[in-house]
Formats: sequence, structure tokens, C-alpha cells
Amino acid sequence: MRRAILLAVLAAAALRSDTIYMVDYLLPRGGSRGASVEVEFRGLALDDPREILFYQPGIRATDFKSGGPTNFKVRFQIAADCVLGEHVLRVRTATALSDAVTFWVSPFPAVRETETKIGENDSIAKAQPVAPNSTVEGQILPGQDMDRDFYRVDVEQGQRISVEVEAARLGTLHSGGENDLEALILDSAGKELARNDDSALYVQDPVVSVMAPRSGSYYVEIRQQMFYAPRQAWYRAHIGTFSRPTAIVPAGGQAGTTIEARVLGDPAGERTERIALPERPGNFEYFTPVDTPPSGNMLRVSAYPNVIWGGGDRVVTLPAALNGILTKPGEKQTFRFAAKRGQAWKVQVYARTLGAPVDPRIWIRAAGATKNLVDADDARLQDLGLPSSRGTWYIKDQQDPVAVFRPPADGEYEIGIEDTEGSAGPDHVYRIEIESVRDTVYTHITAPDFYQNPRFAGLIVPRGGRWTVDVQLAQGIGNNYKGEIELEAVGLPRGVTMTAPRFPRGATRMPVEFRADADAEPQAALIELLARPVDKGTKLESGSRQGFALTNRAGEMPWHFVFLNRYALAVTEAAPFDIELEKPAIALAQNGELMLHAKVTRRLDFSGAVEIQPDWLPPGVSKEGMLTIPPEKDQADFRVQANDKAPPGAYRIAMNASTTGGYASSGVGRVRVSSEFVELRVEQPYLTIELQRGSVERGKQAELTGMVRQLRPFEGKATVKLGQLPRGVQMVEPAPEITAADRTVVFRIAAEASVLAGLYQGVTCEVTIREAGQVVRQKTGTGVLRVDEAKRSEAGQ
Amino acid sequence: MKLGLLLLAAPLMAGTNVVGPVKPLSFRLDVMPVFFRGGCNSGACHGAAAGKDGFHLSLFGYDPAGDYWRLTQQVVGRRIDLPVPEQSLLLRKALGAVPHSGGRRFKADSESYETLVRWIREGAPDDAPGVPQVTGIALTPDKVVFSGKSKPRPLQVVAKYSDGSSRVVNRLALYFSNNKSTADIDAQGSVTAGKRGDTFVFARFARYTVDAEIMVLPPGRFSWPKTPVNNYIDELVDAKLRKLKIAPSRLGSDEEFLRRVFFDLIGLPPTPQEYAQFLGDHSTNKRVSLVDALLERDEFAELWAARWAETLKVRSDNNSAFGTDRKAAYAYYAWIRDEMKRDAPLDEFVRAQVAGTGSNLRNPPVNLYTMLPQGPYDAKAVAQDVAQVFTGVRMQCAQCHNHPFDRWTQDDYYGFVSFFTGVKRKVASEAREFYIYDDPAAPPAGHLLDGRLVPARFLGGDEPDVKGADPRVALAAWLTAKDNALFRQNLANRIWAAFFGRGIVEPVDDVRVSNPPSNRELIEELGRRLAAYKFDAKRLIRDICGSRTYQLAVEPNASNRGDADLFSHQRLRRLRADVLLDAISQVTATPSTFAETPNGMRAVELYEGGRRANNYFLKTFGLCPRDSVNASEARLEPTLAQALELLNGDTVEGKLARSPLVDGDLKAGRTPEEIVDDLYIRTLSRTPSPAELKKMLALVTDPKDRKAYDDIFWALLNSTEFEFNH
Repeated sequence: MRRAILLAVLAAAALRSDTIYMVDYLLPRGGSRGASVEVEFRGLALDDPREILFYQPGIRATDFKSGGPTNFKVRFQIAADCVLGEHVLRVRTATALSDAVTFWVSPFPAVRETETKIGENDSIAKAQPVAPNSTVEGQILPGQDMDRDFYRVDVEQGQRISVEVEAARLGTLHSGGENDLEALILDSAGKELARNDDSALYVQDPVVSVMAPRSGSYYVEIRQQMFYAPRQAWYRAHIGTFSRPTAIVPAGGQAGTTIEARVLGDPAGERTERIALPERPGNFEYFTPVDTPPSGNMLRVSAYPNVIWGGGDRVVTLPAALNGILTKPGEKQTFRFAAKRGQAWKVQVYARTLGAPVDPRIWIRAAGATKNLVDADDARLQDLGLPSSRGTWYIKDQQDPVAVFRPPADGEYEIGIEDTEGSAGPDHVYRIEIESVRDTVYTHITAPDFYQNPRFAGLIVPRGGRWTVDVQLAQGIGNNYKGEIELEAVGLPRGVTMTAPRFPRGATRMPVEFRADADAEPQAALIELLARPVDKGTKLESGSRQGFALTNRAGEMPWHFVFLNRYALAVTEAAPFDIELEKPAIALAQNGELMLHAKVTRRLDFSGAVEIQPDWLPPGVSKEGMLTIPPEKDQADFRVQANDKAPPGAYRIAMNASTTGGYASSGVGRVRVSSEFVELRVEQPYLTIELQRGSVERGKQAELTGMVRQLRPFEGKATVKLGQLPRGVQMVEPAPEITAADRTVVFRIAAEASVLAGLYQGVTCEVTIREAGQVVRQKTGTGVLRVDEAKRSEAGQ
Repeated sequence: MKLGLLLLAAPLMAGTNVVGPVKPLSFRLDVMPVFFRGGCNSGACHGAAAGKDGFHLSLFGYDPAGDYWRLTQQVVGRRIDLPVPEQSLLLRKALGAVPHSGGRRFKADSESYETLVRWIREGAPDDAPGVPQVTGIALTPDKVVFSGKSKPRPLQVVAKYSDGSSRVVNRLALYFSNNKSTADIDAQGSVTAGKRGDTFVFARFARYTVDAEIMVLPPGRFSWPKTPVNNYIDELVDAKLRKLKIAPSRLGSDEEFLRRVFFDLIGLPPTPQEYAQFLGDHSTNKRVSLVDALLERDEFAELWAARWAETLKVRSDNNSAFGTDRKAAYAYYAWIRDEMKRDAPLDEFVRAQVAGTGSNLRNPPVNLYTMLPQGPYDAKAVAQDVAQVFTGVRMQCAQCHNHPFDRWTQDDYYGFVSFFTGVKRKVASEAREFYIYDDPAAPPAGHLLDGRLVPARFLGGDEPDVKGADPRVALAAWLTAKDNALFRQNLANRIWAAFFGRGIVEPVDDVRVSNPPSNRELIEELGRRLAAYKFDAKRLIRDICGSRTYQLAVEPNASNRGDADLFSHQRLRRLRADVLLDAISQVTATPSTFAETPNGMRAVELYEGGRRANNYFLKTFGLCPRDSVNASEARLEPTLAQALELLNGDTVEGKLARSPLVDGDLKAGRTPEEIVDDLYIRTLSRTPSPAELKKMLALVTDPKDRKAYDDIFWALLNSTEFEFNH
């Protein structure tokens, strides 16, 4: 057993040393409004931190204290009106921009858990007292003994005891994370008043609220729902008397209006509140003014009015937002609406997205008919306008269906909603928004890997340098615009320019270059890249969408994500080298190969090796892995090869180059720059050779003839060699030479006496041509060679 | 076809005394049985799915029309040679006249050959539509008692047909015996008696199998010993024993009972304190009181939770895309354990699973539909598992052909599968959570032969009206109804087996006509009682543990030495792997630790059994791997690796080295006699005999040296007596 533990420790250590995260974690995992908190960042390549880039307002970072490459400290000044909840941020260092991590802001004062060894607060008797409405910063301590953390809170009869935990949502542990906690509320006799493991609102994180039956002490226990050897198992537990509504109905309303809404799920009972909605349609996080909880309830703001379900007979005018509650098991609620042929309506359900415990299914059929014209249960991430990675990402919002309805004829239609599993309850609230489809194309910058990967998903532009990444386009649901697209960059810092190609019809991915002037200020900015139709008369909506899995799990089914609507770009200190890719003087032939010539110019006192590789190669063109230019050299040739199907054409390619060390796969700890784009042409081959069927006797010589088809003229002479000959058969040197005028080529071959007789397929020709100072190699032809037994008469001699 | 025709055809087949003109043979009624009897259409021969050596017959003849076509049309003029019938390949092969993988099936002078050759001479005709079908068979007499050595007794098999006719089919039926050493049956249906005992012989014809009970009694007088009867169980067991002139063993001692009931009810041996308390109790009902006390302990629920979790394949598949995440497995396990703790009635327990809908994390019993399949959903596999777990019936044979050893047809099979064809699974709020629900629009199962949709039908029962509803609700209600003997007897039998090491039907999950209970009256009564107790398992267990039958000694007497299944004595039972490990941990006072498991858990509490704990001991001692619902998955037979693990392995050695017990005894100043006594009581729940004590004390050369005591402790832990419940 001891051996097993040791092995487990070693395995964990191996895993840690392999970590690729620039910011592994930051502590504490959050802070309180109005507080000043010293935060420690731990990770890799963190030397020289310069700036924290926040995606939401309310936090200022000051007083950086560098601790070397693996950590630094910084003070967060949290404004008194800071946005509550999750704050996404990145670190800009002198040379890099980190991955996105989160910091959580609470309305309550923070209390540190005092436990240092498992067992110090694992019972009612040893519970740590906390004042009501505190945020406990706790940790499930590592060890085989299951850590249980008890907190005592004193409340008056009739007050609530509410607990809301942030643990899985913190996304601290990037991989193998199972920080799945459970919260229990006990009375002083140890009787369990309530418990919650997973909540409808926050999935893995518990939310629980009960009324105190009498004044006195109550106990909150926080523990793992099931045992996982705890790693980085920090949590933030809000413990207090706050109101914790589980749903609000109607779950939104028309922009700029005030709605009367029922606030549900509070153990103190239902109440009605007047909610003034903002002017801008979209999501709106509403905080009840009554005993305000640490997190809000998500509502929807629409450009059109609400309809409340009242039996299904009423005919609704579109666009509209349909609202109701599925209170009875198996209940179906329907609405009627009039629609015309030629219209396109986007029908989107908001229920699970808003935290309601509903798995909605909708259908649309002609009024009085039985056949469904639309039948939708779940949504794909892309239908929600969100990026995925490898198609394995999954979020609860996908339980809400979204569909496009194109009425087949003018008339009256019925839309219905039910819970797929027939479940129901007082807070099973839904909202269906029906509005005209708007043509939308989103931009994404998504790493091909499951984790955020600065090499592919970061925008880090050294002063005076270039950084090129793929930008993807994704169609919004129902999008009709299929034409060419140009990219517009919004919010680029001064001195930074974007060079983006025009996206042809159907293109979903193109390399986009960002360039910083030599005198651009080092800084970080949040930018948008928007898809604009080339046809200016067309209306097309766009947005930037980037997603990261913060907690990855085996099987690439991550838990917690952040989805962002802006990209982070950093201008960093100048790179210590520059890379130049020479424009190839000749084209790359199908079935041929070509050397790409690159030159490195080292700057300052940099004398290290530089790794290079060309990217954005044309389809059908492959490259060798990575090539290292050693310190003593400044040039290299990089071999690329085209297969016989590489489509001829002109392509833009660039060479990416980076310092060595750090992590090659992610790019963490490296400085990377891109060369300028150069044109690479792919053309058909110079010539093809068709080998005539030939034969040779064992121990003899013979001739093999190839018919030459000249496709493209070349200068001088080309040498042709045979390849893939059977073992023991050689081409007799010298290899024949041909000119652009020749129509045949004749090879002499010699077979050893030991060659196995038989028919050999796949004999090829390798053509070597010298053009523009380059040696160009090309493969062609496949032939059949028969090896015969030596003739009897000779064999007998 | 009419009755007369059948009877006229009969003389060829059987020795009945019907005379008259010879009438044409029927393909289905006369020819097909030849293939059946000859073994031609068995699974190992031409009945295999791909046929054999280029010739395919339907397995056990479930598809006569297809067989007719293959014989007469598939290779025209070869298999059947109408001009020269004797040259038909069918006959030449069957006689072994040409090379035949199956060798010679019958001789040229046999009736089988005569039938085939005559049918071909008649032009190998197919049957007219509406040919009668076999509707049942009877074996007479259905009960035979042999007393001592007596002459063989012929049995007769009579088939009944759909037109009301019947026919003796002795020469066409197949026969087998459940226990050849007690009663053997030959190819003509003649039974020969062997050793004392009670067994069944079977006849099989068409798709029917029937049995006759054969009792073989020893010669001479037998006087039933005077034994007290504790309850109905003893009455029913004794009744059977009396018939067979078997006397039960003596009642087990208090020490024997104490250890047995501790292991059986809570999976742990008694502690020295518990031992002293029970031995010091002189009340007359102390055994019943002990059973009652143990039934209330959490360990009782945990032991049953482990058993159910094994049967229901509770295990995770690392973050699988099929709802079998660890969290789901844990949720299912925790639900089972909590159900056991609250004494959930077993009918409720089963209904919640079979008819479950919703999230597999918030409504854990729906994990029946994630854990049984352990992969992509397959309605057939789930139906088979549900039938096997909750009724003990193995349906799988009937997927491809009517069940050869039971009454189940393909229609029964696909009808049962149809309860599960609408089950849908989809990911819910996160990757670990799945929704399980029924899609009422899903079609029922299609029949293998013709693709015809077979509506949902209870096993051997009705077709419920499930239009627009979840058919599993109707199924769960039928399944768990008090009058469903299949269900209640299966559960009662599973419970019984936990206390005797075998079921009254054994294996407990192989209920079929050809595997009858060893005491039918007993299993029926236990089933009835369980239902009458509203499926409160504890009440039935109280009856079982309170019976004299349960409390009998293991040692046999002269009359019951050969009894293996009538419960005339208790059985020696190797402890389950987890129970054995927990016992070693308890007696050495050194808790076990397991991978991915918090400290303080016993092996029995591992929610995935040994799967995550990665424990060599549990694996070696055959803890159920939960790969299938088969009760035989948990292995209890001894292996060399087990012996070596106990002798040299880390478990015993390590625990002994860490055990504080001997040091504690020495520190407390206990004498060598006291220490040896204590070790015996801890491990074997008894004090050493004077001879044993003498031998042990001889080993203690220095009374203060722990080593000798460790050796004694080691020897006790390595004793068979420790490893077994008895």
C-alpha cells in the first residue's frame, strides 16, 4: 500500500512537471467589494509581470512584486461597486500574455478558513464561527482522510440560513478537476435541515437556503460530495441570511420597461418585485434588493413584449417572448401565433440557461394539425453562437432548444413546450423568444487543443514584430449570408495594425496578421474582430466569441468554461530576433518538393537557437516537423512536399519562429514571431513519365523505357532516376538525362542472381531539375517490372 | 391435417397399436423431429447461425418453412434426389456414407432413416397450410419413486396438437437428467435409479420441455429423529427430508451460530466483547434477539448494498460518454445503500429502477439504464438483464430461437424487449449527468425472423395497453405485483442463497423448467411470505435465521452426507473476498486503505467493489468484477494465488506487523493462556480445545516476546476455519 501511495505521489509529480499553464492558479480565489487583497499568481514564465487585463470593470491591480519565473504578487483594489461574481483576467508580462483565469468578487467580507490540518474543524464541536453574510475562503485539504469543514453561524428565528458555494466554478484545477462539493445545514443537535450537492443554478456547486426554526447556532458543513484525492480544492462559501431566489417569472421582458415579476424559491416565501429592465437587449443579471444574494438571477431583455401563458388559446403577435411555468408533471403548454410564408423566425428557449431545472422540448405545428414542423429538444453549441473545441464541449445551456421556423404557408400555428422527462415544479420557468432571423456570422479564435493555447489562441505582438493566427468564421443559426467576408478590427491599440485576407465564399478559417510598430507602447487591450459583408448593401450582424475550458476532465469533457465576446491582444517588448521568409522563386510542383529559405536576424544580445516552421501551407502540402536554426547559424532551408492532389494555385504562407525552451506545444515560455506572408504557387509537374512494362532476368541487365509527357518547360537537363525497384535490382548509373524536348527516357537496370522472381509494381521515377538556383525534385509514374528466372539453357551451363 | 392422419403416421415412430393404411408424412410433424432428435439442427451443427459445411438448418427447427426451402430448393437435385431417394445427400450424409463432419447420425435400419427416405419417395412434399402445431407435451408418470435397486421404468411422452389430437413421441423426443447419479434416462425414455436422492428427468419435443420427479430411496427402515421445529421453513425442509429418508444434522452450537450469523448478516466476525456477551447470555431466545440486533446495524444494509451493487453492475467507466461516470456509479450505490438502510420494500426498490425517469444524479435508480448496458444502449441486452436480475429467467436464447430448455418463445423475447425500446439517454447539465426517459413514439422491437413489430408483453403474460405511455411503468407494476410468482420467488431465492451458499433454485439466476427447485414447496412458500410481508426482506431473513434449518451444524451424519441441495445440514462457505478482508482488518485491528477511497472505509463499502480500489487481495479472492449480472461472477473457489496471498502476501503479514493487539495484551499483563484464548476468539469465535491450547503454549518460550503470539495469530488467520463460514 505504501508503495502504491508513493507511486501515486510520483505520478502526480510527473503530471505537475508537465503542466503547460502559464497561470496555474492565483490565491486567494476572490475578494470582497471595497477590499484590497494581495493576490499571488503561480505558474510558468511569469517573470516581469506588467499588467493584469480584466474583462469586467471594478478591479485595479497595483504593486507587482516579482518572485521569479514561477510566481508574483500583486494587489487587487476592488471597487465598492465592482461587478459581482466571476472576473476573467489575463497577465501581461514583458514578453507574453497569459491564459485566461478567474477571480471572484463577493459582496460579503471574506473570512479565511483556519484549518491547517484535517480534522481541526470536522465536527459541530470544532466548527469555526463565522458572522452571518460572510464569504469563507476555504479548502478541502489534501489527504486520504476525508476533509469536512464545519462553520457555525448564529441567526435569529425567522431569518434564513443560506449557503452558496463557488468551487467547481472557480475552475482552479485545470485538469482532472473534481472539486465537486456538497453543503449541509445542521442544527445544534446535528440534525440535517437541508443539503445540496448539485444545484439547478450552478450545476456542480451547491446552493441551499432554509428558514431558522428558532434563534441560535446553526452549522454549515462543506465537504466533497464523493471522495476524490483533493488537489487545489479551494472553495468560496457564502454563508448568511441572504435571499436565494431559484427563479424569477417572467424571466425577462421588453427593453426599457418595468415588469412585475414573481420571485420564486426563497424559503421565506414567494414575493413580487418590480424590475426595471435595461435598454439593451440581451442577458441581464438581476439582484433582488431584498437581502441581496452574492449572485444574481439571469433574466432576458428583448426588443419585444412579453406574453404570459394562459391556456393556449390566445393568438400571439410576433415577435414575442412567451413565458410560463411547467408546474404539473408531464404538462404541455401551447401558444398560437399567425405567420406568413417567406418569414423566418428564430425560436429560442431560455430555461436551463437561466438556471431553471427544466429540460425543454418545443414543437411547432399548423393549428389543429398533428404533424410537427419543428421538433427541437437540445441545441448545439454553435447554434447558440458559441465556439467548441473538438466538438466535446458541453454546457447546460444546450438543453434549451433553438430552431428556425419557416412557415410553409400563411396561417395560424401552434407552438408547444414540455419537459422532455416530464418533470415539473414551482420554479420550472421558461421563456421562448421568437424573433426574425438576423443574418449573423461570428468570429472565433479557438485553439485546436482542449486547453487555451497561446500559440494558437493568443494575440501577442512584439513591438516591431508580427503575430499571425487563424481566425475562424461561424454561421449564426439561420444565417443566409453566404458571400465574401472582410474582417474589421475594433479597439486595436495605437500602433497595431491587422492584415486580414478577404474570406472567400465558404471559407471558415484564414490566417490574420497583427503587426505592432517598433514604437508601439507595450500594453494589453480587449479587441473585437467582426465579420463584414463585402457586399455593402447587405446587413450582417457579427460578434467575437472565444471560449476556454477552465476545468478539463478526462475524455475531454470539461466542466467549467468561460465564453468571452472580446479577444485580448498584448503588445509586448520587442522580440530578440526577426524572421524573414524568402519568396520561393519557383512553384511547388504536384508530387514534388521545394526548399523554403528562411533567415533569422538576431537582435540585442540574443544568441540562442531559433525554431522555425512554415504555416498555412496549401492543402495537400506537407512539411517536416520543426527545424532548429542553431546559435551559430542564421539561415535554413525548410523542405515542403506536395502530393499529387494539391490543387494548383497561389497561396499565402508565412514562417513562424520562436525561441527555444519553455513549452513547444503551447508556446508558454517562448517568444514567437511570424514572418511576412509570401506567395507560394502550386503548379502541375514539369513532366510525367509513364514506364513501359519491362522485364529482366536474374543475373542479367535489361532496359526500361519511360514515355515522357512534357507539361511545363524547364531549362537545361533533368536527371531521372528509378525508385522503388525490387531488392537486388539496381539502376545502372549514370542516370539518364532529358531535356524539355525529349519524349522518351531509357534506363538500364541490372538484376542480381538472388532476386526473387516475380512481378513488382510501384516502380517510380524521381526527376531532378535545377531551376532558379534550386534543386527541384519531383516524383512521377508507376511502372511494373517482371523479374524472370534465368533462361534454362544458361542455367544449365 | 386431421387427427386420423397423424395417428396413422404414428406406428412408424412409436410402439402404439394403431393399424391402417399408411398415409403421407408431414414435413413439420414427422420430418423436422428427425432433425431435432438427430441433433442435426443443434447449435453446434447445422443449427449454427452460419450453418455448417454449407448447409444451414434453423436452430432447433424454429423456421420450418426456411428449412424446407433449404432442403428442397437451395441446391436442387442434390440434397434431395427425388428419382433415386437413397442417393439424396441428406441421407448419405446422415448415414455417414459420405464424409460428414457430424459422422453417422443414424443407421439405415433406423426409424429416422425410414422416415426421411419415405418422405423423399413421396416426393418430399411440403405441408398443406394449416398443419397442426404442437401445443404441449406431457411426460407420464410425472413422479417415480424407486426404493433401493429396482428395474428401469419407462416413461411416455405424449404431444398434443392444435387440432386436438395427440400422439406418443417417445422416439422423437430428447431426454436428459438433472442428476445422472440419482436417475439416468436413456434415448427411449427409460429411467434407471442410482444413488439416494431426488431429481428430475426431462423430455424435450418441439419447443416444449417437461419434467418428471424421480426419487430414489435407500432400502431399509428409516426413523425420523425427533427434532424441534422453529417455523414453517423447518416444516417444509423436514417434509422433503423425511420423504427421502434423510436425517438432518445436529443443531449448531452457540459459538457456531454466533460466528455464522455475524458473517451472514453484517459481514464481520463478532468482536471478543460481542462473543462474551452472547456466550454469557442464558436467555432462551438469545439467538432470535441477536438476529434482531444485527438486522438493525448499518453493516447489514451495507452488505446487502454490496450484493445488489454487484448484481446491478454498479461501476464507472472513466468519464464515459454513456452516463457511467464515477458520480453516477456513486449516486446509484448510495441510493441502494440508503434504500437498504431504510428497509425499503423490495418491490418499491425494483419499481423505482425499472420505471425510473429523469436525471441519473438526482434520481439515481435510473442508473439501471446506464449501468446494465455500460456502453451504448441496447434494449435487448437491457431486457435480458432485467429479466435475469429480477425474475431469474435467462431470456437470451430466445433472441435467435425459441428457448430450447424452457418455455420462452421468440415472441416472448421480443415482446419483453419492447418494454425497453423507447428508453432514451442524453447528456443533461454536464458531462457526468444523463437524462433517462421513455420516448412514447419509439416503435416496439422487431422480430428477428420477419421484422414484424412485437408489442410489449409481460413474460408469459398479457399485452398491456401502453399507447402513449411509458411501458416500463406497466412492466414495473406487473413485475413487482404480489401475485407474480417469478418475481417473489426469485427474490426469496436470492435471499435464501445468501444464508446457505446456494439457492433452492441454483444458480439463482437460472430459473427454467429444466432447472427445477430442489424443494418446490419451500421456494413457493418463501415467495408467498415475502409478498405477504410487503416485500420486507428483513422479515424473511428473520424467518430464515430463526429456522432450525439455518442453525444446523455443518458436519453431516450418515444419512445426509450425500445431500447437496436439500438443506439437511449447513454448508461450508468461503467468505466473500471483501468480507474476508474486512474480517482480517477487524481481527487484527488494522483498517485497510484503498486507492481512490477515503480512510475508514471497509471493503464491503467500496461503491464500485474492487474496481477502483485496485486491491490485489480483493481481486485474488474473486470479488465480483461487475462485468455482467451473472450471479456466478463472484468467485469463491480456492486458488493457489489465494493461499500464497494469505501465507506470504502483504495483507496478513502487513496487518500482523501493524496490529497493536498483542502488544496491548502484553502491556496489560495478560497471561499466555489469556492471549491465546483472545486470539482464538477474535479469529475463530471460539476458545481453543485443551489439545490446541497445549500445542500453542508450547510455542511460547518467552511469554513477553511478541513473536510467538504473532506466529499463532498468523497460523489462525491462515486456517481454513478462519476463511470459511460454517
